[in-house]
Amino acid sequence: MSAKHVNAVIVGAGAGGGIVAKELTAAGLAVVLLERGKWQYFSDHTNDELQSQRTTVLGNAYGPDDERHRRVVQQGDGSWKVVLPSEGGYNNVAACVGGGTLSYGAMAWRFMPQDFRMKSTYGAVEGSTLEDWPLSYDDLEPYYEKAEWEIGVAGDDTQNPFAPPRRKPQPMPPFEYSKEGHMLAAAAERLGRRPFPIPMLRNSVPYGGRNACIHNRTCVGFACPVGAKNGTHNTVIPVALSTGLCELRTECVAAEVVVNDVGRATGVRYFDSENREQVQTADLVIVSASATETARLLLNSKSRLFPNGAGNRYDWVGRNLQGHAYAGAYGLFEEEVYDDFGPGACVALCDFNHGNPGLIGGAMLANEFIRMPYLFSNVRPPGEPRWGEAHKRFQREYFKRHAAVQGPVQELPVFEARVEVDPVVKDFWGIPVARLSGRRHPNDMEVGRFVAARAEEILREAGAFRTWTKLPGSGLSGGQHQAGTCRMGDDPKTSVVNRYGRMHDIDNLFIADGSLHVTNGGFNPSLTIMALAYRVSHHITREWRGARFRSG
Amino acid sequence: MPSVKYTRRTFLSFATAGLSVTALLPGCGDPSETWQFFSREEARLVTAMAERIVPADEFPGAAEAGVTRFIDRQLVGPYKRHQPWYRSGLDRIQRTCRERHAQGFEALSPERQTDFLQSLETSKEGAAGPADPSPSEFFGMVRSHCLQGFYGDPKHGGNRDWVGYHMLDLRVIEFDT
Repeated sequence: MSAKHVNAVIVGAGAGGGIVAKELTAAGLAVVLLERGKWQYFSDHTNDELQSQRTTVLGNAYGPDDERHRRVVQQGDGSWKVVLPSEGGYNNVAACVGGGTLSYGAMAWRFMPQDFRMKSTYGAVEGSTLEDWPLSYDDLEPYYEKAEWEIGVAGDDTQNPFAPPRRKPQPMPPFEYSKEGHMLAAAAERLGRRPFPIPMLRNSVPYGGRNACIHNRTCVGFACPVGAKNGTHNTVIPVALSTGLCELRTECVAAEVVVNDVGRATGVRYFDSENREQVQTADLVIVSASATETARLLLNSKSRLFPNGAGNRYDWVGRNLQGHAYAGAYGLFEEEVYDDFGPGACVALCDFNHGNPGLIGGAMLANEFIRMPYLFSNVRPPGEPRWGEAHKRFQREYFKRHAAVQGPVQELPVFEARVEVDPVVKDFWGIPVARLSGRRHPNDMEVGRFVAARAEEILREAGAFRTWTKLPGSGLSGGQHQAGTCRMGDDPKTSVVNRYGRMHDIDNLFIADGSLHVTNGGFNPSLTIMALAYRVSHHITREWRGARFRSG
Repeated sequence: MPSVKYTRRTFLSFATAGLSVTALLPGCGDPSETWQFFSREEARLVTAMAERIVPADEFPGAAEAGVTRFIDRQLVGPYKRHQPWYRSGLDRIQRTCRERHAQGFEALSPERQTDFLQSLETSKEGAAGPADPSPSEFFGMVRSHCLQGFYGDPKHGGNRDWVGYHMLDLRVIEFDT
């Protein structure tokens, strides 16, 4: 079966790929969007804590499944272990239409100007490949705005004195605080901090023909029952499909970007929903499969000119894998602080993203999403029983009398933290799986301790009678905020793609996901991934008009 | 994406829960319960262990909440991979218990059961074989599974009548989809 040649084939219908599909079809290009998962709905898993994307013990609600997928992960002692998608070490991102955006927490952060200039701001750091982005905040600003308005963001940056400059406000008013949010905001203010409502890719009022949020308890890790959470699955992907120019093929697993003998991408080899091998040819290939899977796909794409994988001439593909070293604190209170006003996370502050004395970078701090009962059964202060009578009593005494404040510490990129393909282990389709290894830079733990102490101060000021910190480990990073594996840069010897996400060596192969991030900010990354996808798309469509990528 | 109507059913708080606890002796599952993975003996042992991990107090414990049924059901589903650990781990516990106390785990007093589980949890002993868990690894797994069965969604076989939510005075929200 030979599929019709199209202008562009996109691998991955997540935060990045969904946007590229919409932008390219809007410019009149014919597109095939390949997605390894399928359409998923709230009704598939409702509010089942044990099978969500937050707690995955009985499997990932929105994929990938444990039956057909594997990864190999290096353990602390250097040995390799095969892990399943539902296990923590897998570093999963959901596999479904919308990718992570169907079930994410939906925080809508713009990175700060310093986040694009980490090396200029802090200098070179030993043991890190710290570098500036080849583009500035100002370069990305129009695309942040586009993401905010097209996908839909509720927020009010005027309340955040550290917010970067913007031309247009966020399109929806910010969310109200929960009881806990009010308490923590007041405490933070008493300490001289500048708290404000977290910007969210979630509807505070009806927007884009979709409902306003109903403040469900089960939000992060779950699909929204009323469609109030905005992802690519309910915004740009339906728009792309409505043009008639985008064919979305679900349950299609990409195996290789086909690169010809003269070093041009000619299409994608994949396995379709019936596990038949197919090749979709196209003038352009865009890979947006997440930092791990994008790197894996490129490394599995071997050709005459690129025997070590597409675009991997200088061994940078898969390098600098990073995520966020979450750090924070828990507090116990005499009075109930829980009012069942989902999703829980509602108040944040950016006082500690930069300018922390003697430290490199920092983190945004926010109160945490609601911890469901099983998840909470693992939240205990040091020394507190992990089971038995006292554990059960603690569960009912403190479920409504605890709070957590934490933040995503900006990690320093490490060259040895990487995605490779495993020489032995293959997935269901016979494709070599991703193999992950490396450790965090010591700076991440140092910043983590600082940030956790700041979180603890807020909880104490709010009246917590007992607090304890949660510090990041030194092991492999990645997780849902995985980034960095196809770094953007001007120098082909020390980066994978240029400032527009185009491979240095293959001029019709683009990346549009978190792999592009040179550094990952002290923020949840989805709005930045979306903004970059708009920017990459804008470059493609502009060049396309000049007939640049059209194959004869 | 089709929008989904939802309805909320708010349950009365579980003020009368204490009554039902006394109706069932802790450690006693429904004897007519049939198991998909466990043998009857294994199920009894798991129930006894689970009841120490989440004991009945003024609220029901693991036995009444159906935690054993939850684990049994997962062991022929998503936890199929844990079958060998359960089989060898439960056998090892029972043998060790008989060596130490001259009786099976279920026959020990709750205090001695707790002591025994604490010794497993902190055991420095190695695994019995390369494919086996160490005692502390095995205990850690059983503990997690018990807490999942007590606090997770009842549709998986545990948390009978949402007891784990009622204990927290947490509204049960069910969606008609």
